[in-house]
Amino acid sequence: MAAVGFEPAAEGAETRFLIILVWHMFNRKKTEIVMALAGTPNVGKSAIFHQITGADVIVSNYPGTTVELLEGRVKHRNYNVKVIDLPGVYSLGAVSEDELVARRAILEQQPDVIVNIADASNLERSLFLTLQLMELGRPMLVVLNMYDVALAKGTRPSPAKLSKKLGVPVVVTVATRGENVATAFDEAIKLAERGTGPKKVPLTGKDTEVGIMELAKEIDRSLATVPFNLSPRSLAVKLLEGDEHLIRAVADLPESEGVLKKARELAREIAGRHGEPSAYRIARERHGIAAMIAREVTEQVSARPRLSHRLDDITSNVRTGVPIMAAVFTALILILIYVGGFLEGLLVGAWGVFVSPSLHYLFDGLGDIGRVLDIGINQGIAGILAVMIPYILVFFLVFALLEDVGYLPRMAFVMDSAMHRIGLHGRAVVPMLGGFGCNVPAIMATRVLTTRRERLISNFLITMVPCSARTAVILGTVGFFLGIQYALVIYGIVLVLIFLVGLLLNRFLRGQISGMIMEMPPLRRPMIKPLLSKTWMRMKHFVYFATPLLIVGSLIIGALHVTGLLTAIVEPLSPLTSGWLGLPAVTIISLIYGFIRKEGALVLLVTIAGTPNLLQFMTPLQLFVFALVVTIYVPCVATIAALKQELGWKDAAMIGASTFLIALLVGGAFFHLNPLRL
Amino acid sequence: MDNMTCHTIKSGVPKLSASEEEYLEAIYRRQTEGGERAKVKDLAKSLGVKGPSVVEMLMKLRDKGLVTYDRSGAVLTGQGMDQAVRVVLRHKLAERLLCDVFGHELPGVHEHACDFEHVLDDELTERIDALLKKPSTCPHGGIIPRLGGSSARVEGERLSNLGCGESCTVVVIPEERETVERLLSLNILPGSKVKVIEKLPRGAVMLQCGKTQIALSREIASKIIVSRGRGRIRARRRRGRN
Repeated sequence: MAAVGFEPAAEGAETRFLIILVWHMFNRKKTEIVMALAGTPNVGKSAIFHQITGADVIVSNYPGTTVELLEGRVKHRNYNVKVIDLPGVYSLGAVSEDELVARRAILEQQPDVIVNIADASNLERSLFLTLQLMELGRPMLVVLNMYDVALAKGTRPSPAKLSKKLGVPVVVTVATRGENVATAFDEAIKLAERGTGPKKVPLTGKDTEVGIMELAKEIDRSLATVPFNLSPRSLAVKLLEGDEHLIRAVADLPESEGVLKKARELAREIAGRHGEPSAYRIARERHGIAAMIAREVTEQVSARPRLSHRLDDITSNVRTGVPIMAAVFTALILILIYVGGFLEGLLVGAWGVFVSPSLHYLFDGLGDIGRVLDIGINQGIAGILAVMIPYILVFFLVFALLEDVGYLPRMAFVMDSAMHRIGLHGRAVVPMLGGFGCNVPAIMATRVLTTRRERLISNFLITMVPCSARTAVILGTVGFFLGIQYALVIYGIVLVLIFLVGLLLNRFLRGQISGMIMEMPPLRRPMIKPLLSKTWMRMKHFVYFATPLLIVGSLIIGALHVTGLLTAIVEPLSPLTSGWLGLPAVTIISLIYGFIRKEGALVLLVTIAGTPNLLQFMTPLQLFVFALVVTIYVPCVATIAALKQELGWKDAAMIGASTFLIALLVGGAFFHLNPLRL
Repeated sequence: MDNMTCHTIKSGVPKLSASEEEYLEAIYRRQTEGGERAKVKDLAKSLGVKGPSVVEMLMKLRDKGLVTYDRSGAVLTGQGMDQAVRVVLRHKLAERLLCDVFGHELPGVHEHACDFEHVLDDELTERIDALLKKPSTCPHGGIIPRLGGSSARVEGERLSNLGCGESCTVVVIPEERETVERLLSLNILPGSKVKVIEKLPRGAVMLQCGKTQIALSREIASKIIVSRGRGRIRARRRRGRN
């Protein structure tokens, strides 16, 4: 800027511009604070995040990953604070995608302050990460959360002692009750203002420390810049740990050969002295330090027996765990049927009594266009009301509750050996259960599985798991008009099919099953606010994205109906619909639309039938076959796109075609054999 | 390449192909770890190949006098055992070399060593062994076998065989990259103390490790070798170093 067009005559303007620029930068620096929340999984990080940020939250995938990063903005005094909620991780290694995202976010975004949330009831475990974070040399606050749980467990960590040991401020909180969270936030802002990092970093064992310091000196001497502004010491530690990501970053720098050579030499020396690789040695020493500090700052007090401990036991014991799991599932379905059914009746009834007649009257005066609008908007909204709020919202609420209580990992434990039969293991349970909500995030969540074989099997099976939209179709048709037992039969059929397909895939796909290694978080009382906000974030997608799509779909059907074009599509495909499946031929429209949005199949069925009372339009057997086919045939477009992204076109097409054939086979068989005597 | 063939001819050992070596290694593992015959099905599973190719290869190895093979599975002959020990020795030394000298991180070292083992010859192996001062265990805690040495069987129990409430010290952990990565982050390493707190019949095992609870599939638990009680193994290894 200074080099281009710089003339003495313009000097005044130039200087003024520079002053404004500098003022701007200075000002920005002064008022914008980036705060990163880091901690192990299940320490109440999101509870604290939601209390700090309130409702203003953006969820985004970290570039190039499927890991979600929550970002919130708050005004505090005269600061704009950007709060980033990092994924919960145990260490800053480069092992899992979560860890990679956590460390990239910390290294690249260079937060002004790191708030490390530690579990007061399991301090040793949390401190491993704390020590790694401290090595980054950024201003840092340790929040001892779950202090109430710690006391109940009979341990009382002293914040003062811990602060002295670590050389960073420590605040105690109970986030579930909102205690002290504001103080912690205030303290973090003060730290960001001061901008000073930890005074010291707890040292490793003497000879390892000598190696680290020697390498740090070498780094200081020969590297002009250290990647990501790390301190020489923390880079030294990472290099000795054999961290590939940073080794690559260093190798890209000029004059880095000496440093890398030195790192290899020192690593060898450490390994020779301890009889184990240096990465391993450093991790072990860090675990050791964490344990030592935890021991020294914690005082044992008498424990109160806790209900949740007993719950932990009975949910993972086989005698009680399996029945509890069955009970939880039954309760989930019953809640959907009764609460959802009740809401459906209420909403559709209210729409029919209060809004529909006046809309009908309004549209009646508009001729053919009016008829299109009546079908599209009046019937369309009735269909949406019948699906979205009663079933999808209720499902998301109950599922978020199960998630927040920490029950899902228990199910993974109990179901592990059953999952081996279908070529999977316990880790696949949580994504598959998530499939009951929506298949798309469930498919993305299968990335936690390590082999392609496991991902293929689990993705195939997830597409057959009835998502909340399909649950809405099942319950809105069969459940509502024929009775719960028939809805349960459909669930039964689908579960059996899932199991059979799993057996077949396991039998014929090459490769072997790995296995589950998973931490079991203790059960805990859920918090209302994060629970609601999570439900709303999931619901938002349906409301904002699906509603316009469904109304447009209904309008198109209305137009086709009024212009008589409907028959042109319906007739050629009638051998399939009415011939093989025994459905009214027009339902093909609804089935085709179900490929775009599964709940759309029901919404459009209502539109086509011209009445929410579907029994006037179809026989009970037809309703049953319709729900069965919609549940199984071809995953929706979004799911196919997710499959394509995870597995490629070939497998996505294979899965789509297979489910289509299965649906035709099972649906046709039910129509022709009518085993339920409907 | 030529140079290497020279060495092997000099040492008087027939040169085996990489896949033959992989088979010997797999049979050896079955035999030393479980004390059982290596079944075709299990070999096919652990090597990720089809049954018929296993049978074909076993015939080939039988013709070379390295295994005896019938319907119940394959067993190494004396000569086969020597060959297998050579391969395993090279593999485990390669692991140590990668970890100790080149600072390779623990996860993935097994996979790298798998490639490495086929390019080492006896002479080079001996030099590496000397360089590393004849280590007794691999980075995962397994015992490194030597020709003419004692059995490579680790003394201990499979974690999956422990009952509810039993405490133990981990001696050997499995080798596959993903498994090691997860175990490392949960601090289940040779020398860690764990307690079995819940066990489903023929199913998963739940461990108490410090204050953390960890669930493991039966397959993983059966690949972790532990010794009941306190950390004897690690103490012994320490003394051995000094």
